[in-house]
Amino acid sequence: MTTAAGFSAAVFQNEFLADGATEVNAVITVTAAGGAAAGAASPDKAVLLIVDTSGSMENPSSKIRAARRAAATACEMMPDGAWFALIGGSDRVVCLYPPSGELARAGEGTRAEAAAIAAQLTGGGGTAISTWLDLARGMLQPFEGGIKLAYLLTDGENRENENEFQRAIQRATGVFQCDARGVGADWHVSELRQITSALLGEVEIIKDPDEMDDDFRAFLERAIGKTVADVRIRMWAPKGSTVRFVRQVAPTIDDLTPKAKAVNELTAEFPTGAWAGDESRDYHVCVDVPPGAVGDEKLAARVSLMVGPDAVSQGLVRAVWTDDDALSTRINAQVAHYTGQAELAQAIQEGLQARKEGDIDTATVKLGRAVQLAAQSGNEGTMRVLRKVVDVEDERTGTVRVKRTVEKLDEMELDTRSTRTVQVKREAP
Amino acid sequence: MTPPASPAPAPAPAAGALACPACGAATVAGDRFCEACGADLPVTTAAAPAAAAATSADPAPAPTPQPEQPEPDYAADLAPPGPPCASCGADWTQIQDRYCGVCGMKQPAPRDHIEVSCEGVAAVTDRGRRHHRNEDAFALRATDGLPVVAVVCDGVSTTVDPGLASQGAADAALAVLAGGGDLNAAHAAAQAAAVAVTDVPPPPDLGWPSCTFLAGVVHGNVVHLGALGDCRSFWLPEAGEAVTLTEDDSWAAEQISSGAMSPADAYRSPLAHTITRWLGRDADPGWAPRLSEFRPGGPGRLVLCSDGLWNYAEQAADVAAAAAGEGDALQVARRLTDFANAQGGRDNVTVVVIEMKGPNTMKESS
Repeated sequence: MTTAAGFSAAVFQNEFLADGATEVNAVITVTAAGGAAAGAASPDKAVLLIVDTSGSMENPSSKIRAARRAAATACEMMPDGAWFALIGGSDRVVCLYPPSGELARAGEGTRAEAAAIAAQLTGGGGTAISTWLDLARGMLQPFEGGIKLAYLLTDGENRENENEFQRAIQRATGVFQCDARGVGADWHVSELRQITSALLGEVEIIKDPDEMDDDFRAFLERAIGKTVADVRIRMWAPKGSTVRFVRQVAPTIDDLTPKAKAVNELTAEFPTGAWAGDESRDYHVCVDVPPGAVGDEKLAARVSLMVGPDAVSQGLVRAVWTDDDALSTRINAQVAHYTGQAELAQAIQEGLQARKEGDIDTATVKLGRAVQLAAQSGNEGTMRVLRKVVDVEDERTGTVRVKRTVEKLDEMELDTRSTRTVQVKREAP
Repeated sequence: MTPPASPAPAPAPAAGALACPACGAATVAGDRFCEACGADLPVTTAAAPAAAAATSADPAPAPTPQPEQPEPDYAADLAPPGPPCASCGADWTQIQDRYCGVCGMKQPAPRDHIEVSCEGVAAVTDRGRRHHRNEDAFALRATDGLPVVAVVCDGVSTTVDPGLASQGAADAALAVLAGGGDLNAAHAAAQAAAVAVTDVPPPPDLGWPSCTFLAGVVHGNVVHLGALGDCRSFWLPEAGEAVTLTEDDSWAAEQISSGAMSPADAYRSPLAHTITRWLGRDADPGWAPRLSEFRPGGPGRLVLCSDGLWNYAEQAADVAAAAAGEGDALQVARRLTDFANAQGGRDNVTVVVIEMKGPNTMKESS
């Protein structure tokens, strides 16, 4: 169903359940179609660049030099009319541009001023990310209804009380979205993943400071493309049912289940952040419904896409009970594919953890399974990185040997890469 | 005797109703689907209205819904509230896209289950357990002092819109018979109605809208039947052996009557139920209904049904066994429908039951 707002939703599922079965799975592809969404008046947009200016950025100095170039480039790319700021973070946080600490409106003059300041970044002091998040939150909070994006770059681990860090993430949740980048090998993937998972962003590694410029540029391009703010998935499920999970499965895996906000007894909303006028995301929903009799048909979930107060598209997930095994045992290709992609991400993360703990047997099993799943699903990007960590004997059976020595950067790249999925070739819904 | 019509439990939409029975939204006459919720609309005004009109106490029989009646002036924003959820009883406002917003259960289409009854006569049609739609149809006239007229048509599921063909054919045949026409004329009208469903050629994998035909007229103690296809009529006497009154136009029946196969072998074939005659645009113009007359020797029940019932009760004795027990015509019709569903409900099932008092009783009462 395509709506005036330019969103459409397609449901892929096997609706047939065996007598007594309760678990309903479906993949919902949500697509924002270019023209319509872009043609509508775009909401205000605010973009924050948060750059680590701790002492370690000077060591080696290639990091701070790359950061200067990249941040300057990003400032120069700020689209006319957007609100922006450049924040420097160490154990304390400073709004470097504009010096007033309030957001600047992008134009020829402000872009040049900001770029000039970015070109003078220097490092010193420690790392207290909670203060960075708090400052960003304070600046972006007034932008009710706008698109609020932050890009956070760091090179080291957070040197503060874990609770402090968690609480800052909680405070920022729902206020703005945040991508995070770690440069080099001295930061923790799990730490930045906590930020991006809560703040609807993505974590990636910048292995070489020389790649920083391209990465900032790519972020700015994505930010410019975002035209619809605050899109939510609203999901209704029948009385007596249990929502097992609501998971974004493409382009990356992100479990939305813990982000549920109850609308009423049977309905919850899940945030998905801002959308570009032309993007497509897939969601896997799994609901346990009270079983019906053979021949009964129930609505297992109504999945609506909400923009502001409006439902702009919806998909119906159905359950039809049958005593025909040929129908109920069929597995929908989309559901199978994304179940595999989720298992792939989990196998990689568990395999890397086991390796870290010296449990090579478990690491071999998990990473072997990951190789098998990546091969089956044609996830070549993940396979390429897996091969840096294991020697593959047989992709089909998942027979691998964990490499004795692995570059830490490669291991981190595999970790950040683990949640990236590929889409399956479409069949008719 | 003033036989009241009692359609239940699926509330039959009033003839000419302009509100979607599923969501209550205003609809345009002739629409096949509700624009608001996508529910199927009772295009041919369903069997119940035809029967309800005909079973009214009106001494002048009104065999079909009367289009010349002034159309009720419904205000679009005053669409009547629909029925509550058929499963959990939630308020009608909870129902959206034909699903209950509380328990999620899909709401039955108007034609999924229809019952009509009055004294001594009842008809039940049901979607069954497997099919997604009910493509059977019936039409009934049971007015005091006039012959009882019943028509059962079974839509052929390998054709386009068989439900439109079956309902149109049943209504057209009823109109002719109720007006005093004979069974051949009723067949001709039913055939014309099945043809009139559409002139758009069907896709290659489907046939033109088609259905079977069975009409019965009961006048005093005389039963006249006209049959084409594989709907059947059975006589279930109070005492004595049950009898099958019709002959199928089916592959199995042809094998048996030509002596090519034994009944057991013929019915084991996957082709057994393939019908050899039907109504519809590709029906042979030479096909005429098989006519028969039957005079019961005593009291009993006359049954007209679609193959959704006799698939599970091939012999008249099987039908009699399934129907056996106390109860009025409606209870017996329900019992037979439930029997078919309990056996698997592989097809739509329609059952008409007419109670007959036998020759002596008829004399006393007249």
